[in-house]
Amino acid sequence: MAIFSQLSRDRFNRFRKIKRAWYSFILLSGLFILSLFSEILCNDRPYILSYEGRLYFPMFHFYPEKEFGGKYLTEADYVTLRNSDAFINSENWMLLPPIPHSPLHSYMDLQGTPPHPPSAKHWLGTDSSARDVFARLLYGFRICMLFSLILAAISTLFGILIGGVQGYFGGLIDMVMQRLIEVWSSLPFLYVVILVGTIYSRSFIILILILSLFQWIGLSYYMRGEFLKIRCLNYVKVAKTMGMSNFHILFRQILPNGLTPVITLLPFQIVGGIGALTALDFLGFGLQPPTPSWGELLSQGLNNLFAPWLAISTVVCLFTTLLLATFIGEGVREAFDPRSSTN
Amino acid sequence: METFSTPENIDGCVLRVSDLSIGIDRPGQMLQLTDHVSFVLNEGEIHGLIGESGCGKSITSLAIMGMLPEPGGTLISGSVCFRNKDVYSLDEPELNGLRGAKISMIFQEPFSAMNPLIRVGDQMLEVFEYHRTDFDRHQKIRDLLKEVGLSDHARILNSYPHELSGGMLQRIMIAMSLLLDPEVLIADEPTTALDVTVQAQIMSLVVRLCKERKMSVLLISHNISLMAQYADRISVMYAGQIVESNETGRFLSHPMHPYSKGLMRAIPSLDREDKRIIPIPGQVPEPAKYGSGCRFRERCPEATPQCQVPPPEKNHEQEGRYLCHY
Repeated sequence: MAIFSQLSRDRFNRFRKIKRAWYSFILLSGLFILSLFSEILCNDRPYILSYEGRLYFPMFHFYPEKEFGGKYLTEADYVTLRNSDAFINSENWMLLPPIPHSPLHSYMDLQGTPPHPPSAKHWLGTDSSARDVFARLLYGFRICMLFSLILAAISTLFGILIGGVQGYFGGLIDMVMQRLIEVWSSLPFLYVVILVGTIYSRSFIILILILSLFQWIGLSYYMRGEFLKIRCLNYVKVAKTMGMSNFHILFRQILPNGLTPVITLLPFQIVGGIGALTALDFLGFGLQPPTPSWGELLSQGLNNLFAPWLAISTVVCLFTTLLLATFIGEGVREAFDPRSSTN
Repeated sequence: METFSTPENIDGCVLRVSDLSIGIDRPGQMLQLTDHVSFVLNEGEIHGLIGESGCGKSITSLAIMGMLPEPGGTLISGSVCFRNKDVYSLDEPELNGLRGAKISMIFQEPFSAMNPLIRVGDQMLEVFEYHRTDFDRHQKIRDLLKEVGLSDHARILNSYPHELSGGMLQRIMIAMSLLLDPEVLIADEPTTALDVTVQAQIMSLVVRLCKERKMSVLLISHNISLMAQYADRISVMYAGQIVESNETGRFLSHPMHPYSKGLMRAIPSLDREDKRIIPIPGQVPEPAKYGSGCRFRERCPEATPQCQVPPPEKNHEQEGRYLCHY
């Protein structure tokens, strides 16, 4: 609708004027989009490989070890290959991604015992299984962001729907639902995660589903309050005297005015999602290893205090992400506030 | 309880409210807010409804549109007939077709009556979304804005409500309520939130539009001088009842009910010798404490023991209708 896009454009322009939030937004979404292409940027498989005059594209194709002089039909180990005699001082070459490490590959041939300290090859060192920390942080960031975005979307939807129904209809419906929510919210969340995770394995989807069962509760309280308040306001009465339908009043008149808590809580939902996943991973109830994850890196950092690069790099990443998300949320809230309009 | 018989001159009557009693269903008790309220609104007539705050004026006006107070509002008895059709016999879609299109309403606080997040122009267009029209909507909006005395339409339509002044917003509200050419306009204290000079402008605007369009207006106010100036007929409401109803000139010269007399004495006047205004002592009783006798007896200077009995309705050619023993 033309009207809506005009309003949205105004809000977007106001958001752009808030420099801190705008740059945070560019930085965080840029990093997130970049991380979506992690496989191309950060991988131990070369883009192009030339072996005895033939060209191979290992990043996009499967080649067995046999092709490159090995014995087996399993996939070639390109890390071993690039350090082997066949590629050193010979005409064979490979074009590697800028960060030539996979988050799952263990560099067992490095000197010393893992975790290895940062070096020119491994910028942030390796973890206790000799895997590259930078690669794991990058892939971990993607999982974290995807997880919290999906979680925030689901829980916001539930929160609005349930809180809105409670607030708009009130009375007995509100009372019964509120009691049910109270019972529900007193369920010990961690036990549910452990139980369900044990029964159905701890996959990405299962974790999102369990967390979203609990995350919407806080928002639904706010939405209930907003709807209760707004439905008694004069303009809702006016809309009724103009003959507008309940549906229209609920979604066009009340909802946009009640969105403030949704918008102000959204960054905290995302921050909360990142925090929750990291905490679960830290405790070992999160995603199945060897999935790259920040929580798991943190717990490694705690177990290997003599290897500070593990904890420091993870904490810096976590802190920066949460800070950027908060800055964005702050800016969005200000941009949506009609009273802060700058004409 | 006595009821006002349905008044005469049925021809030309647009809206007839008869015996309207509305209550709120509270646990264990039914709180009656209005008691057998009856009046008619004739074509092109401005009918004034006066009364203190909390005596049921706004509840009556919303009830005319089929809107009962929430939660627990109940229609105890009576009917609201618009063009001989009972509003309370209509279903929800029919009611929505009536609201805004046939009967529309202006509220007292223009600031809170508009959605703060929607531009004025879009709010006006929204009104059309639920009603069928056969004219150019944008043209209609511009015509009406001109009629209510607003220029610079492009800027106004593109503004959010908080960017405009109260007087402008009230004009916009009036234009908005006239978008669908309603036959009845309910103006619930349309000028209370505005300053005096703007009040006069807005009122003469409402009156002019009403005369031009032959529209009937139910003007609700607690301002008796406003009524004296603009209303054709005045009804006085007290504690949920209409206690007196008469043609404006006669009402002003001969108020019959002690409450009306009290109201008249409370108006500041320039030509009276004694310039003190005489307030009515006490407060309007709460709905739970109405009792069965005359509801004004606690505050009435002329009260006698007989006032414990419900007062009879009197109906005379000159004195109009009123609800008192004397």
